[in-house]
Order: sequence, then C-alpha cells, then structure tokens
Amino acid sequence: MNPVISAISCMKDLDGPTCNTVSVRGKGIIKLLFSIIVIAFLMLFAMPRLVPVLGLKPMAEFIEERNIDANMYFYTEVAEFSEANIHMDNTWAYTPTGPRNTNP
Amino acid sequence: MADNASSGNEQVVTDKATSKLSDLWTKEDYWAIWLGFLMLIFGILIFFNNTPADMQAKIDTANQTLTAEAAKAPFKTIAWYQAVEAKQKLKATSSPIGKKIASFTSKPKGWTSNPLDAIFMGKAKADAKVQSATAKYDAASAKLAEAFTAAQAAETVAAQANFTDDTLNGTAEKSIADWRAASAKASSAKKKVGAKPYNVIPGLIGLMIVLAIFFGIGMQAMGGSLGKFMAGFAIVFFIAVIAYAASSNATMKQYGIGYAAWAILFGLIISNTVGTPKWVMPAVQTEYYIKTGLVLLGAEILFGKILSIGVPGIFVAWVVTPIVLVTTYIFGQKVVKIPSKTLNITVSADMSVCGVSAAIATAAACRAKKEELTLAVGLSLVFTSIMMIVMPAFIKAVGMPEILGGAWMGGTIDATGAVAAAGAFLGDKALYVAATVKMIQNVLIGVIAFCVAVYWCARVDCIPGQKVAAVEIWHRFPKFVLGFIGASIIFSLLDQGLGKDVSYAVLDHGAIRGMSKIFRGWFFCLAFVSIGLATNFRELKHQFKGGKPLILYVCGQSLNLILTLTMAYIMFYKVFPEITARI
Repeated sequence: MNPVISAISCMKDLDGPTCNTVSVRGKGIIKLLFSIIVIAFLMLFAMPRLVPVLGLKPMAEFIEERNIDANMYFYTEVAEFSEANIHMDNTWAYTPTGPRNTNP
Repeated sequence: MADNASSGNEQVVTDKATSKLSDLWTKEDYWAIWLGFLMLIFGILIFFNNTPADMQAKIDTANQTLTAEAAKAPFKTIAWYQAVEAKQKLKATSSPIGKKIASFTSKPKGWTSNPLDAIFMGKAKADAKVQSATAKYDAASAKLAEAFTAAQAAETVAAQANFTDDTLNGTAEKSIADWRAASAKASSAKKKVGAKPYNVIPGLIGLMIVLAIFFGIGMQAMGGSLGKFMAGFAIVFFIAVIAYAASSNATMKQYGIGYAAWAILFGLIISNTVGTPKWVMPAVQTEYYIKTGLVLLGAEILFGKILSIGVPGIFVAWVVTPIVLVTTYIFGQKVVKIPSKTLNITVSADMSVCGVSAAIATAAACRAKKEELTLAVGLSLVFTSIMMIVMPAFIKAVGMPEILGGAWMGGTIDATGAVAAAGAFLGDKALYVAATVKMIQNVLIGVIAFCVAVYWCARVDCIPGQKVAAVEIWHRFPKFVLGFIGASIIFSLLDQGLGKDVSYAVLDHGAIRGMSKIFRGWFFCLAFVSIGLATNFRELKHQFKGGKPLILYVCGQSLNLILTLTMAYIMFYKVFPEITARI
C-alpha cells in the first residue's frame, strides 16, 4: 500500500483502528507532517502573538530595531561585541584626562 | 581501568587507550586538527594579504586625534568617538575577497512571515522593503542630525569654559550619549534601507560540495567511503540549512532560539518519525564535525581579551565562574546525585560559563553522551530566553546602575547574543560592560575544556584509588583538545604581536570573523543535526529522569546570580571605582 495514501487515510485518528493497519512508515510520515505543521503554527502564528502577551514586546521591538543577533552563541558572532571591544580598548588607551572641576 | 571506548553513536568522543603513529591519519581527533588548521592557515593567508587600504596611516591619524582629545577634555568628545569609528571601519573582511567569501558562505537571510525570504528575494520585493524602511531611516537620520547638532553645541559651550565647568561638562556628556544612541538607531535603519535582491541557493550548493569534499577526504583516510559520505552529507547539510533558516526568523531572534536548537529539533523529528535513512548515516558524524569546529573555535579564543576591562572583569568572569562551575558539579554529585558525571559537568559548564559553546567544548572533552549535550543545550535555551527578558526589566525596576547591571548580566546570561540584547536594552555602558565580561568568560572555555579533559583522563575514567600513569593519560587524552588549545595560543600570540588596532582589522575582522567564525558555525550546526538524527526521544527522556538536570541548573544559576552580583558590586564599586568611572 502506498504509505502516503495509507497515512492520509488515518490522519484523523493516529492511534485508532484504521492506523493500526497502516504501515510503520506511513505512521512515520503522518507524525513528520504533523510535526512540520505544529512547528509552522508555532513559528508563524502562535509565538509572534505571544510576544505582547508574555510581556516581551519592548525587548522584541528593541531587538528588531537594533537588528541584534540575540540568538547567537559566541562573541565573534555578535556585532555588538566587536563594538564593545574596540570601545573598551580605546577607553583604556586614550582615557580622557582633560581639566576638571572649577564649579563644584 | 574503565573502558570508555564504547559505541561511537553513544558518545561525543571515543578513543582507545593506545597511541600509534598511524593515528595521525586514521583518527578523527587528528583529522579535526589538520582540517581546522588548514582552514585557519587559509584564512591568515587570505586576510593578511588583503588589508584595508592605507590601514596604518588611518590608524595613526585616528590615534593622534584620540590622544589630543583625551588630553583636551575630561570626557569622550565627539571627535574622540569619530576617531574610534574611523578605526572601526578598517576591516579586512570588507576587501573584495572577504566579501566574496562572505557571499559564498552566506547563511539563509532574515525573514518574518515568508520562509522563502530566507533563501531568495526578487528585485520587486527588495525594492518594496527599501521603500517601507525609508520612512524610518529618514526619521532616524533627522533625529541623528538633531542630536549631533545638540551634542556639538553642548561640547562647544563646555569648550568655551576650557572644560573646567562640571555642569557644562555633564551636559555635553549627556548630549553626546544621546547622539551615540541616535547614531546606533540610524545605523540599524540604514542597513534595512540597503536591502538588495539575493539568491543564496547557488552559494549553498557550492558550499555543500566544498564541505562534503573537505570532510570526505578525512572520512576516506579513516576507512570510510567518500561516495557514501557525500550522498548522506547532502541530507545533513540540507537540514542544517533549514535549521539556519528557522533561526533567522525575526520572532526566533526575539525569543533567543538559535540554530543549535533547531538543528537538534529537526534531526530529532526525522529520526523519531520516518527514521534516519541508512544511507544518510555515513554522514551523521557528530564527533568529527564538533572536533573540527572546536579547533576553529580555539582561534577565536584570544587570551589578550581577558584584560579588556581590567581586574574587575577578571574577578567577575575568571574567579566567580570556576567557583560556580566546581560548586555546581560537587552539588550535582553529592546533593542532587546526578547519575552521570558527564551530564553533571556538561550542564554545570553550560550554566556557569557561556551556554552552548561551553557545553559543546566540555561535552567533547569529557566524552559526554549526545543526549547529555542535547539536554544541556535545551536547558540553556529556556533559561537564556527568560533571563534575557527578566534581568534588564528587574535592573531597571530596582534602579541598579548600568555598569553593575551590565556586569551582572554578562556574567550570568548564557548565550552571548542574549547578553548583547539585554545589555543594549539597558544602555551603551551596560552593553560595553556586559559584552566585555561575557567575552572574557568566553575565553575561559579553552582552559575549562583542557582541565576537564585532563581531570577525566586522570581521575574519572579510572578505577577508584588507582593511580594513572602519565603515558596512560596521554593515550586517553582527546587529542583534538591540543588543536583547540594550540589554535588559541597561536592566534593569541598573533593578536598580541600585531597590536590591538591592526589585530582588529586583519585578525579579528579577517581570519576570525571572515573565516573561522563562518565555518565553525556550519560545523556546529552539522554536528547538532547529526545529534538529532542519531537520538531517540526515549533516550532523551531517560536523561531527564526526576528533573535532576533542571534542579542542578536552577540551583547552580541561583548561586551564579548571587555570587556574580556580589563580586561585580565589590569590584566595580568598592575596590576599583576609578575603573568604573573611566567606563
């Protein structure tokens, strides 16, 4: 039996009697399709709508506005680290030391 | 002595306790070193020969300005920042060949609602994107011009008083900070206005072929079949591309969910639904990809960075972190009673050092099971997302100083990207401190991986009470760690020898960000896809039994939060307030 056809035939009830007759591969395809649908639903529909609900909106908008790679793992992958590094290096090497304080 | 040379599918690293000369060309540890170093040498040759035009003259001019401005005013003037920006623009990756490499190795692009935008965008859509971004850019540019005028005016007034009036100096400093913030916004808006049509498919196909040959040569030498490897590699690479595309989604960036999580998830879904096809298995080489990636990661660990924020940074990142790591590990063994020592140390390192990168390096060094690494990555992902949102909100709510908040977040939030987002959300100073502390912590990975590898060879992988001979330690030592440490030492020496400015232009923004970083990302992604493709959900569930890893993570992170905050406060505000004032 064509695994896709058999998979579709038991789409409504994974553990029901119809599915028991479906091949293991067919069940696998159903599960794979179901997983893809769940991921697409979460990624494209549920998670964007949860941003304001979970109180993430200010940070989410900030990340979007500044275009920060907030899901990277190492400092060389994030542009802000390079900016911070060069800023700190120059802060130590060229610390402003000009005149101060005649107006306490 | 315990035999740790069990099934290759179960462990991240497998070695037998013998050493032969032929290991040099038949073991993946050594192949990881050869391939990693080949890539690094290639990167050095390319970028050291394609330095920015008039680099030294531009650096000298900028440094003269910086010296003059530093002597002129007691704060960072507009010219001071402009001189730093001039040096910041000097990048070997901006050379024609650097751009070609970046284009050839391009990952899927960012997208919001249409996944196809990750790999292809036509001219009409790019034009529409530019048009919709133009209004924001114009507004940001107008605000920038306004902020610049105000900053210039405030600085002029302060200069007329010879920079001796504290009130005027403070006003100028505040105006300059506003101009910097407006500049950051305008810079981000400018990138969106520059949207161009693209098609990354040909580049991805080319990259897949190059990487298949690159790893396939080693596979052939190690007794595998080049043809079978290349056939399976196409699928592993395809899933890696999908993982990168998923992580490029705007919402996923906002949640801090990166490619590692997606790679594992997609691999898991395939292996636990339709099953990983047998013909793909020759390319499911977790250890091979991880070890090669780690050798490249070694080049990104520059020891000179540990002094980037002086002594306070060393205390926050290099004293607190090992204390938390060791304490959490002991707590896991004695109190939580985690059944697996490798799981315990992987979660402890993941939580205390810097999340996924540290978990990868530690898991490989102690021969952790792939399910253990998966679990550590999952825990890190969940807590990173929470901490990235909660910590800046808490810091703002309690009115904690920016620098203290930055140091606290840099020392505790696992993922570096999340540290950047949380730090920048608080302000520029918080970002600089958070990023620098996290960067210093990143450097610790090399030391920790080395210490864990030695400790496991000498103390864990042996019969209790038995003394292990040095030669035995050598036999058991995961050799790729030598490549990892070697790359780190060589690149650290180059970094020191070149000087900060030249190193920034040709090493950091050349061989590292133009070569090592790009390929290392792909190798780790391939490794995580392989982990997913070879893992069964039931095995993963078994590792999480009783929620012990979660308890370990929560307890360890709580200790980390308390110790890091205490140490940051003592160092930045009690012992070295003059350093804090300079930031």
